Amino acid sequence: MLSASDTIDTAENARADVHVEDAVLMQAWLSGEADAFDELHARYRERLWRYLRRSVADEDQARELYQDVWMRVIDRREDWQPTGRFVGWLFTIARHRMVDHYRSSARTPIVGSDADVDELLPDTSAAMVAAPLSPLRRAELAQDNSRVQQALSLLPEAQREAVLMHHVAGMTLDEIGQATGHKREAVKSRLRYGVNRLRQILGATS
Amino acid sequence: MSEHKRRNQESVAAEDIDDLLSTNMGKPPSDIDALVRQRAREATRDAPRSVNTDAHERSWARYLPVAAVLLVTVGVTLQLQRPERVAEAPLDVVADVAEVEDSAVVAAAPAEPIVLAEQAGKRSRQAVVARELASSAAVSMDARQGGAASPDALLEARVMKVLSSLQDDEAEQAVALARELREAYPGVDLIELIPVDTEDELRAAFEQLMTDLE
Repeated sequence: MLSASDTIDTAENARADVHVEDAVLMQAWLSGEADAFDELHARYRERLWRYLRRSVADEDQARELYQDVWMRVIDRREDWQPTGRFVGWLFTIARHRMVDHYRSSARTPIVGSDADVDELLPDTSAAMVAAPLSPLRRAELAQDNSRVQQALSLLPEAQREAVLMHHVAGMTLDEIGQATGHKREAVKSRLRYGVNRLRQILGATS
Repeated sequence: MSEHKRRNQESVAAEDIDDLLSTNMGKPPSDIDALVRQRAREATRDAPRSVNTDAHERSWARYLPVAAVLLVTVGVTLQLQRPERVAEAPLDVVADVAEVEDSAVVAAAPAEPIVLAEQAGKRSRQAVVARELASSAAVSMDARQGGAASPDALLEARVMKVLSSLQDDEAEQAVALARELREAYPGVDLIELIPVDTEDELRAAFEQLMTDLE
């Protein structure tokens, strides 16, 4: 049976080809192929959105950050270095933007609220018209989200960052290490402690 | 206990918090996505091209699989030529590598072509990209094979991967990409190892490489 560490290593090996493709796309974009950016954007838009959406309190903030991060990617494309992975570079920009956001607004990250489940499901409105959620289900979704947000807010910042990048944005340890500037083993440790702590909190509140 | 509460406890107990963390996030805002793509196109159009290519005749997307294969090719070849690999290799491998170093193949490929190119003031972004990606790909392949694969095993894996992955139309793409890579490596003979005319030449060159190592 594979251990968790083996699973992570296998997944990271499998992503080597993806990183090569990303770099080829990035190079193509820098060489004038606009479609290459569209492909990169399509690859990472959902992962970036999930990371930002789970990191801030409301959708408007997430939208602002989401747009800003992509604009920085465009404006700073010449700064990209092929020594790193595109996803690491992208989330380095996202992380810096998050830091700026916290500093400028003096807000505590991840302030959860269970008040408005519609806000959490912005793109499911069409489906909701066809099959509207029952009041009970809506309450459950809001409760789930509130529990997760509250639990995340209780984690130390470094652990929360690792958990969000790995479990929400789907990043590997190496990718997180590149984005945060920490060594792989440090990321691994923070992730392990963060997940264990999160399980304890969620288990206690469920 | 309600079904909802029981489900939550099970998911946490099963050490699967991904769903809880990732659900209810919605989708990325499509209006911003459209704005971003438009901005990227404007920026791309406004910026001077750094590479002179016949963009109207090719699509970058078709090149991706072949590009990955060829970059692995370059990477493994570079790995074969690194002195530290020879030093770390078993004695029989060292002997094999010593023979290879006397061969025409290596004679046509300088030991540190990228360094030479950079020293000659011909460093380009493409060269840096190719070097780093090639190194990464080679390390990855090495790791997949247990981390202690011999240069011969790496080369064989590389050749088999290239030959098995190339279809007729892909060979044409490989030819085109090889030309681009060669332009990106000014003065680097390493790329000459990748034939640039026909699929038959491509296969023949790799077979020659295998023969040289036997």
